[in-house]
Amino acid sequence: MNDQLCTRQVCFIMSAYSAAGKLLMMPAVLSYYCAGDLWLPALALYALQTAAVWAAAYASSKTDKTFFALAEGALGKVAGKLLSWLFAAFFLLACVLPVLEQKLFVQSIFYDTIPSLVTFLPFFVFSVYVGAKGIRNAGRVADIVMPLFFAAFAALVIMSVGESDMSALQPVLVSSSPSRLFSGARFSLYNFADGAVMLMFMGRFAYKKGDAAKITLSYAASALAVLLFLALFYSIFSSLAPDRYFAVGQIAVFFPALSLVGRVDLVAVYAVELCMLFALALYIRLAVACVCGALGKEQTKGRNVRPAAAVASLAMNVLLLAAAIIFNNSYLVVQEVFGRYLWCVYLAFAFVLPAVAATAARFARGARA
Amino acid sequence: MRAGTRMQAAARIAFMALVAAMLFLFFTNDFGLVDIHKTSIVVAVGVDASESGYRVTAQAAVPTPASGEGSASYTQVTGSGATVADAIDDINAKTGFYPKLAFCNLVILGESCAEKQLFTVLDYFYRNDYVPLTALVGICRGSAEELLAQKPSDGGMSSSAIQRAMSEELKNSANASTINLKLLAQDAGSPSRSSYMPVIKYSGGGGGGSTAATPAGTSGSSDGGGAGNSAEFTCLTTAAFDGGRYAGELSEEQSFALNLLRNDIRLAVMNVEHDGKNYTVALKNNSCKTEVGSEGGMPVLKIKFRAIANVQAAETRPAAESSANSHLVPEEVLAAASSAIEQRMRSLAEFCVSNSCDLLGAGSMFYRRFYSDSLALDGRVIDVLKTVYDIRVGSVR
Repeated sequence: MNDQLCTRQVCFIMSAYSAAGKLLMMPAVLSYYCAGDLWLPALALYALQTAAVWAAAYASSKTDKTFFALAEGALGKVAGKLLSWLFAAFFLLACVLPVLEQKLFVQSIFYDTIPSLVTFLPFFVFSVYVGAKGIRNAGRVADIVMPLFFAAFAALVIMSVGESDMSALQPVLVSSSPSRLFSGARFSLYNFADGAVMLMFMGRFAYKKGDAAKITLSYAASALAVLLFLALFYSIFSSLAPDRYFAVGQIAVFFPALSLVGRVDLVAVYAVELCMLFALALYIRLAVACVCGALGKEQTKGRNVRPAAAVASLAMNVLLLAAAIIFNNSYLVVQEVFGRYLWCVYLAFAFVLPAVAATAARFARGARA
Repeated sequence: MRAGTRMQAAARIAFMALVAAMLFLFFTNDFGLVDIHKTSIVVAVGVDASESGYRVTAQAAVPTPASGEGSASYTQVTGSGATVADAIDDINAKTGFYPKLAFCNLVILGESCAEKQLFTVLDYFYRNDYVPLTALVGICRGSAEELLAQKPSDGGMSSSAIQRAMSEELKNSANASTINLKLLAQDAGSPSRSSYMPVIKYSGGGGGGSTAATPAGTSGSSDGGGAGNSAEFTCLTTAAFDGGRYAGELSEEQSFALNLLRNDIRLAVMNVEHDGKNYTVALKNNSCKTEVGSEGGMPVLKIKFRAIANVQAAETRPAAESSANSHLVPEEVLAAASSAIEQRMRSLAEFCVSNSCDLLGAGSMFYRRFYSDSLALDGRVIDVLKTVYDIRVGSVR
């Protein structure tokens, strides 16, 4: 066992990081499919994902092994390595749409003319560095980012609530058909990789009694915050909601004081953006960790990055950069592909595998009582 | 220290510096390098419909040196095209700068736009990510171009004076039916399908003051003086739209009632006549609640209005002559005030029914509370709406 995180850091990651990425496009996508019922598919997905997070946390309570070590013990070395590569590919895939969203968000919210792709490219420099730094570093960053995120989130909610009209959410479950609700869930599923993230933390923190409950509750609290945000978003924009991309950057613009003091809400948006960047980089860190694990190489030594991790991070970012260039003007196509076909991948990695891991850990040889 | 460790430390510092530099680039906006000569900060836009499409007039603020005597300079340019976007592109072609609408706080529609579908005219403003949804919207008699060319009494930009006539303060005192792009679209997109906007009128005036014709249009500058033909802008009446089609114009009294119903009114002033004498009454602590019910599947709208009144001025019993308890309002005057408010609300409801234009929002409320009944009525709640009034105005004590 290699303790890289403490329970607090796991809780912070599962709350702040998991919430941040869902505040960009998900509200508009859900509004398009489900109108005022947008919170229903989100609630369903969150309920399932919370169960998956709990399952992964429960698995941690039963064994000190990492997920891959557990798989290796149960299925053999080759299967373990194969799973490592598959998870690396999954986390890389999980970055594609968020990277494109970040690019559009930065270009749309932080600039008052349409800037070129070049303005977003510095992200990849940041991402290569952070991606190589390992999971221990992710925990330390979460310690700083989590309070910042929730303070900014609270500020945005306070600035927005005056403009909201919650009656826009009525009537419940009549204006959207079950097929629309299902489509909303399917097209939002790419935001839910949290079960897979929690699986990666197995065996990487010292499990103490009650930690599974703490982690699950942290995740549930962030789910509650996102659901509140979704309701607030729709109650502010109602019929305009499907066209309001980048919800977090738009929700507070009607705060009356902004007409006097300017867009001070952008300070909070910057803080949320910072959290989003680290949340996105977490996927790259995890992908790099999977690659290093599959190759049997060390990712870091002390605080220094080992060559294998640096090369892996560089390679991942080159692939993401290529995706950002290729799909520069095709965000909707990529979103369609994820919503129509790749949602099954998320279902398998983030929902099913945590349950399988929990079962395997429960019955594995040497499992804790 | 070993050479390898030193190298590693140097590399780390260099990398951190690079990341910091890149983050700086990432979070800054064009490095603040905006060529002011190629940029125009449009503060208001006027749209007129013509046979060949649209004419768009952009009023742009021109930066003036801080040491200059004028407080504000502006330029006004007009472009035309098949669509509003095309007309804006025409402005670009004529002037060499592309109008930045990020600071556009006012959209004025000319009278000719009333003949068109409202959201076809405004489509550009909803599609453009850089137009703030907080921009105020109004319609005017005549052309928007002419309205924007008027010189207000303070000598500044007409758009500033018009925005003052549509200010939050006037909205909160029930004097203007101020609305922005967001609320306008939300109202039209609601089950009621009806929306409204203030009608901007001006009195006096006669042209753009110290303007000089340029190939691009007109320009003006503030000299701080109140030159002759200055215009005064008011927004006391309201234009109503149903499903984006112009439905009619509310009178001042109907607009007052609409504002009581739709806005959070802090202090409204109204004139009440009792016994042949005028009383000007201020209404405080206003609370106007609307609740929809269903009676046999038919909608019933209950309007409950409460306010505290005090007499601000009266033709009888001046405060100076009988100072004791001058703030108390006689019961008869209170009853007259309640009756006047009810009359205005009834008049508004009649307008809504006769024009099938649900400005009361009854359709939306009925849809949300009685969904199946609403479906049975096929959404036309206003045609069968029964309205019950419960209006009470009390006196300060």
